[in-house]
Amino acid sequence: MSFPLDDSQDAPAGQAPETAAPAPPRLSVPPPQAPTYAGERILLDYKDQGYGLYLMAGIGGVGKTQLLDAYQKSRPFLTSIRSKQSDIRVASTLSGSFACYPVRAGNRKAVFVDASGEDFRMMYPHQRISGQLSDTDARFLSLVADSLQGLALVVELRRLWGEPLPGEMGDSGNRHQERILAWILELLRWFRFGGEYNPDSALPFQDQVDAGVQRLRRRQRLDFPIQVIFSKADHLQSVPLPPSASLFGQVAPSRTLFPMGEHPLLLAYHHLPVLYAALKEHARHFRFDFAHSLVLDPDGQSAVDETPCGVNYSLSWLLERSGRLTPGTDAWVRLQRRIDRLCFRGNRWRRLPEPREFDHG
Amino acid sequence: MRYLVAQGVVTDAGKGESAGYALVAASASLSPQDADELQSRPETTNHLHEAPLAGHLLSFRPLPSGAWALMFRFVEGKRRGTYNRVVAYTLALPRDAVAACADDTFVALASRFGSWGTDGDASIAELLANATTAVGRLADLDLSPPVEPARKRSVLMGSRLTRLLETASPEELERDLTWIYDSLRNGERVLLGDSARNRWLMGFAWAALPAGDRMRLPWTEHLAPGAAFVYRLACAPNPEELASSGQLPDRWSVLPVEGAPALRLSGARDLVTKLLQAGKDAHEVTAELERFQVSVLDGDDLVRWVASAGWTEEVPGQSFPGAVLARTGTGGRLHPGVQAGEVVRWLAEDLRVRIGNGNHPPTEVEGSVRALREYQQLRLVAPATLGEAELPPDTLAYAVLLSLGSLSSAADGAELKRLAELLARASPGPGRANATVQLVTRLLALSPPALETVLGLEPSGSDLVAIAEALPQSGPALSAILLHLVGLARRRNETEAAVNIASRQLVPLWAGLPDDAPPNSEALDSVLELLVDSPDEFASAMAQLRGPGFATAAALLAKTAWSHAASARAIAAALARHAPDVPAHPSVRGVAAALAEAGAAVEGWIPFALAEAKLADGKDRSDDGGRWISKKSLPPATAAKVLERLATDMDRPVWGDWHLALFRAAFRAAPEPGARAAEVVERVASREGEQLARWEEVVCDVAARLGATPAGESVRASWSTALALRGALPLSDRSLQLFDELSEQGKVKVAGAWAHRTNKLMKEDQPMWSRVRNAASGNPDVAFQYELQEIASQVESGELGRLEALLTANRQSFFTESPTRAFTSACDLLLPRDDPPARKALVLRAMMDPGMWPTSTLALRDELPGALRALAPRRLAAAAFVRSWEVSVAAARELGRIWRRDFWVTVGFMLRGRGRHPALLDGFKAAATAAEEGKPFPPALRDLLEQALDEAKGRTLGSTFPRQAFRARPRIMNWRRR
Repeated sequence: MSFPLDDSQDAPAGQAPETAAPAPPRLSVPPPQAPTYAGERILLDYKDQGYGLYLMAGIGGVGKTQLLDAYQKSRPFLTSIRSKQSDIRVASTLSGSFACYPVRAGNRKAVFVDASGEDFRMMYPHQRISGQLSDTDARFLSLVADSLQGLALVVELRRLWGEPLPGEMGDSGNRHQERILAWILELLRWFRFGGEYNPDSALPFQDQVDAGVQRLRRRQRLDFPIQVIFSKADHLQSVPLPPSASLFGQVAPSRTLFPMGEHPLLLAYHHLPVLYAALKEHARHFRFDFAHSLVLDPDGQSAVDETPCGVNYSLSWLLERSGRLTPGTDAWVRLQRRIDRLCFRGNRWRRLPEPREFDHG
Repeated sequence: MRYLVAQGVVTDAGKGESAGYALVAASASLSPQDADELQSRPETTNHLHEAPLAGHLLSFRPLPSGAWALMFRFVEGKRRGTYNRVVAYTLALPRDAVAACADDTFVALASRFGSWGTDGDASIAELLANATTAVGRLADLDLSPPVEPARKRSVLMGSRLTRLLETASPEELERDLTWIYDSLRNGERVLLGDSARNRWLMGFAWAALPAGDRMRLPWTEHLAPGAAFVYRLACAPNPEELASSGQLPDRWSVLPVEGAPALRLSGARDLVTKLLQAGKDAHEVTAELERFQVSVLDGDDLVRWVASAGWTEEVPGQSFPGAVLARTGTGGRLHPGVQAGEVVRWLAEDLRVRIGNGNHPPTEVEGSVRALREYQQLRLVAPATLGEAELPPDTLAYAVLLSLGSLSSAADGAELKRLAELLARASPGPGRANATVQLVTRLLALSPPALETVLGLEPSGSDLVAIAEALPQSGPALSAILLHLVGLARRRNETEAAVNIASRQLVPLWAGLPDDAPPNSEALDSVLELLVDSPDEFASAMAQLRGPGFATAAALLAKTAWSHAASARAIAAALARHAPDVPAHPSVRGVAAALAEAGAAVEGWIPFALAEAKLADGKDRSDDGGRWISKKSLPPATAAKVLERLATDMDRPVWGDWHLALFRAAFRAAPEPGARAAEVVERVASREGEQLARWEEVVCDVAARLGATPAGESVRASWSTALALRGALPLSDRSLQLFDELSEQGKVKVAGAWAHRTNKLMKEDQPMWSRVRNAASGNPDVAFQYELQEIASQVESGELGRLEALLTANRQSFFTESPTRAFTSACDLLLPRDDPPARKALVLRAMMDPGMWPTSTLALRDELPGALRALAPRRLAAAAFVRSWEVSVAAARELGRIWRRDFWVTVGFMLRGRGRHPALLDGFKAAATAAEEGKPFPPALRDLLEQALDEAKGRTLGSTFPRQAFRARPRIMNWRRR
């Protein structure tokens, strides 16, 4: 730096300039930071106080916050979910932020963490234009992984299999929900069992995760309960089942979904193979269920039904599920298959059975 | 020159729906990293989703590729319900394009844009309109900067400043801008409110910085919490709320709504003054800084620049006292050649004059210390410069004060001791007193404390108190230092100061010590003995101390009561004010007696007596420590107080003989014990049975003395009710007499309380049984309870076959009650939980017999919800109800209502039974069977069952499907077709 008038020039002759003395602290601009999340401090405080975290995961708009809001209506939340004007209309969780909702779960301290669907979507490398994911992009999961006690994976089948949404533009991950959630599971398992990014490695982050997960042992699976929720089930009535593969190529679906008669586990087994396989590989306890959406009346001021079907039970299962020593879900499934074979019901594991009998009208 | 500029549009991909924000359109030249960054952070907020927004909001931030994002956020359409759909349109400006626009966003905004390779000329408004419908690929743009970007920038800055000055006075603007620059220079992020004026202010503050600083300050007109780590300068609605919500990752300084606070000193004000003075030529000030590469954000660059460039005549002396400035020589500015020691001397002399004139010393010292620090910082001289000046004794103390202020808090002991030596040579006066306090505080805070040096300073009593108050509130040697200060004060005969330090500092410190690390016993003795002559302080200490500290104080108090009765009385009186509750510590034994003997007021010794009572009752019943109280004849006024105190003290868990002795003595002496005595007896009555027996005699005495007054009636009723709940049988003659003395109404009430012990009474206490049975006949409700109890006992003893006859015989009693209550009570009594279902069904059928219930099922139907709720925990088969269609209708309706209100509760209810819904399903089955048998099937029931089935179907999902209900359904449907 140059000045028109240097400080030392005015010092009297014969006297040493006083610049040898210690300089006062220099104020400086802080260096650029790694991305931080809005509400991160609140989350860390909850963790410090020993709260168990229950994460809602899914892409944007599948109804994660809505499920929590519906759950709130039947359970005594300590904090109400932020909503507009009335306590019904739920605002979406903003990108780069997450909200924490503590709940009563017996004597345990539990908090639901509701993160933005955009953040989950952007954690999937193939949803990124660059195709590359860095450790900072997945930092959110590393924050929660160690304290997770439950995970809800929310899938909207209508957007996965149905027609595009009215006015839908671009790719918002609708058709990739299965793979996005499978990747989230893999990331969580990696973080949970000590995965650390090595910046010196030539492998990109996602390959390091893949390699790290493959090194994990079978017993090093996610030991907290995972609930897969097929959200907005009341809108699934006419959604066609996806084509299935056969010797003759893709076979067009023979029927549409009928959620009130479908068996959720079998549905996932037959038509969500990626997600089912990921759960089987990375998790010990998992469960599938449908849940209705929070339907508002036309003026948007109140809910038509304040306790949408399936919400309370699904989320309560997460909170009440314990017993890490009990056999995993895949063991129960194997047992059930054996029983079904003996009872001449083995066919339902070969193709999705028809929905249970009752009057469609 | 033209520059390639990429576009990108991020918005909710599902218009009218909620599909999440994603990049829906982009130019080919937008780098993948930038595209990811844009869609990772669309910077939406709840405010944008909810509030109407006209126009757009700007942001300016760097992208991973090195380009700068000029982002426009605006609202277009709805995404879900009434929520706004936000569109974030970004122009990715390459760094050289920004440089070509004079590193100024606003110059870039005034540039011309056209499609790449064409001569088109699109305005920003057209680009934004195009973005609302863009999907997929967008054209690359070329940017043509203004011909003279610097001139354009000057015009824009000038007009912005003019507009700002239209909305606020120059003084306000100066304060706000200085505050912004000061905060930025301190490394803080700055948040302003969401108003047009603040956006202009932020824009001007940013634009007036040198180019290097501008490129280090990303800014936004609307801060999204999720992207807060990106920006350093921002506007937001409700900034205070946002900053304190915990949502933002870093500390943000919020510009107060009422404007910036008082100015800080860092050179920022001079820059702002210069900018405002320049007016439309403000850009020239910035240009000058740029020319000499001065950074406003970096700490001392600006201060040095301001001092060197002569922008102000006040630097560095704007905080220097005028008298000092007058001696600096050249036009009020400090001459660079001034020696540091000389400045210290001037400041110290100035301070002496002002403190000597009676000004408030701390403020004065603070101002001078600030001036000295500023000088030291500017001239880069060492903080300790005292030794360079030959100072006269009358100025020396002030120089020490200044040096102490400018020394860091971690200054070493040698430096402090040198200052102490200098201070010892200073003349006495306010300056020396002040300096002594500060210096001793710092010396004592050293580890180990420099006690020898402190002694050499000979501080006065008030100095010692001030030192004790200035000491840090915690520390390993704090107790020792305070003890030392107390010792110093006593040595100097400053008893008041010693008491002050002991009571205000030392005792609270000891009170906070853990029980396993008590204070030294000798220290405790000496300090408490010091406090004995100050009753209030002693009482306060006793209220605070615990464990060994309290024990020492109690022992000292007992000793004082025998040796110095007057002091003990004063302490007891003070204790009544400070410590109404005394802990039950073994050391309290004998204190109450000693204080009472010393003539202390009853309020003073009663807490000790009660504490002693707790000790005696809790451990050793043979302890006769309370005997002196029962023998002591209390004065009437004292007795009333004791009674009052006992009435409030009875809630304590441990009580007994001591209380009894106290109560007896006080009751005997109290002139009008009525209400209080009744209150005490009521509280006694709520205690355990064992202690009831010990109080019987006293209670009888009380009742006898109170006679037929309402208080006496209350005592008898409380006692008899307590015996009903917990008393041992058979009752004594005295207790029977108390019951006999009750009024008729009172007897009925007590009989109600005895109803649940009918069986025991009949077997073990016939006299009381006949009494309560007679009393019960006076009230149908109570009589019904007794009759029901009798039926229950007969049913229990195996006379089940006679049940219907028994019930019929007692019909009249049932009808006098409301059917629901009668039914509920009967269920509670007659349906034991562990009985076999067949027996339950028999009992229920007997009770449901149409002949049994005169109003028949119509009355029951209306009351059925309550009855069902009573039955629910007993898991009764509701089939028993389906003997009558009206009852079935009501049952179905009620179950349907429960079903509709809380599906999962009903499902849980179903699953708790035999794995299926025992009530509703049985109802369905019975209805279906009846339908097949061709029985008349009331339309109302059919409709309700249909409704319940539809409800169940709509609710049924996955594995929670009540199959049996649906299996029953076809039979009903067949019946309908028939």
